[in-house]
Amino acid sequence: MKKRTFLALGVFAGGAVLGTLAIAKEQLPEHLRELLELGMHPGHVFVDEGRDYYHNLKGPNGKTCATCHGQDGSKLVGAYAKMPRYYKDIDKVADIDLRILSCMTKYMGFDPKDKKFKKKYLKTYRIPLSTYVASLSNGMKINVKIEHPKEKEMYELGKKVWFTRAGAREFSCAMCHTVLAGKRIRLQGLPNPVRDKSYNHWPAYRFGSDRMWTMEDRVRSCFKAYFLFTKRWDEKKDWVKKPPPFVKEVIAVELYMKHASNGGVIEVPGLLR
Amino acid sequence: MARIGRAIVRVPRRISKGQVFKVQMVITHPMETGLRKDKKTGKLIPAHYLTRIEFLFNGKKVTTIHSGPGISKNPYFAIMMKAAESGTLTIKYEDNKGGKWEKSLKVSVA
Repeated sequence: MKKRTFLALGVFAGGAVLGTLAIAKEQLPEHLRELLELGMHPGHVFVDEGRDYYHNLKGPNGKTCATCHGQDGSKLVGAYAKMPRYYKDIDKVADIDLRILSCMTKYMGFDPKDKKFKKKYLKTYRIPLSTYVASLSNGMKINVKIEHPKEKEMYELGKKVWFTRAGAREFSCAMCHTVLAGKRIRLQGLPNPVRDKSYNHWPAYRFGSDRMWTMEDRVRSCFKAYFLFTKRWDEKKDWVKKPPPFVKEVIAVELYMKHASNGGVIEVPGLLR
Repeated sequence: MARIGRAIVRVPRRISKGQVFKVQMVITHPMETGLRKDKKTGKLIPAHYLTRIEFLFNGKKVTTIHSGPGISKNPYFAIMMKAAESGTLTIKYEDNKGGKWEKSLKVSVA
């Protein structure tokens, strides 16, 4: 009996060392695991589409992404590993989605107040472009530094959001991903960003909903599902509602998580169940 | 949606003569069965799926896949083939609503 418990403990510790990929692989259904080992899945279509936009999408100024950042993203290699960070030109801490939007409005000449453009950006350009830019730093280690005072401020805010219980369900990020990490919720293992470096496979293709998710989508829908966003709970206003895109708190949580998974090797696009 | 029909194809970079190699592809397609209902309106969503995928090498037919509504969204297909010389691999695929696409890439055999 004693031997058996010892063996089980050994297996558990092994899983912890191997990290999320092991947990993620273990919980994936067999056909998806096969697909991941083949090295090609629907997420790669988004990388291809993003490459297309990167070279061919022209703004009103006649510029494409490639005119500034070089053919095949040669100047963007490794940029995703340092994101989210403070950018001087927009005076904000930005994650990849916000950075691409502000690049488009500032340098390519799209109108930031144009609602049609913003809708189109959110729906069609955002995910392929950010997946493509993220995939350029494949194989590199996540290296987020917190130096600028605004970054520090955001980091503190992210830490606060991570540990604060809020919303109608009195939930916090930490409840699942720090306290209960390593256990299962329904069938899914809960990754811990510090121990498992679980930021490395985002943006990821999710098979359940058959679409690509960036981390912003993930955090925002987590807010919707578990927190209901605001502390003051008004059923008509706030019930099951996502926070608006590019909100400060969401980016702060992203910064906190990515800093926690420093050192993880980036593998984009990921594949989730 | 402009995304329907977009595909990626992958072949090994180095192929020796007479070697059996794998051609992998993923096609973006909704693959509606025609049995699902729209949650908001309660009406059936019309069927929309890939029916035929044809592989041609230098104009010569390699194989054809007849696919149907039982296949998942954004499907993955793979075939094994042999090539005696370098050339272009053309893949033609069509769906039941009349959409037709073509994708070609070069295969170099050393």
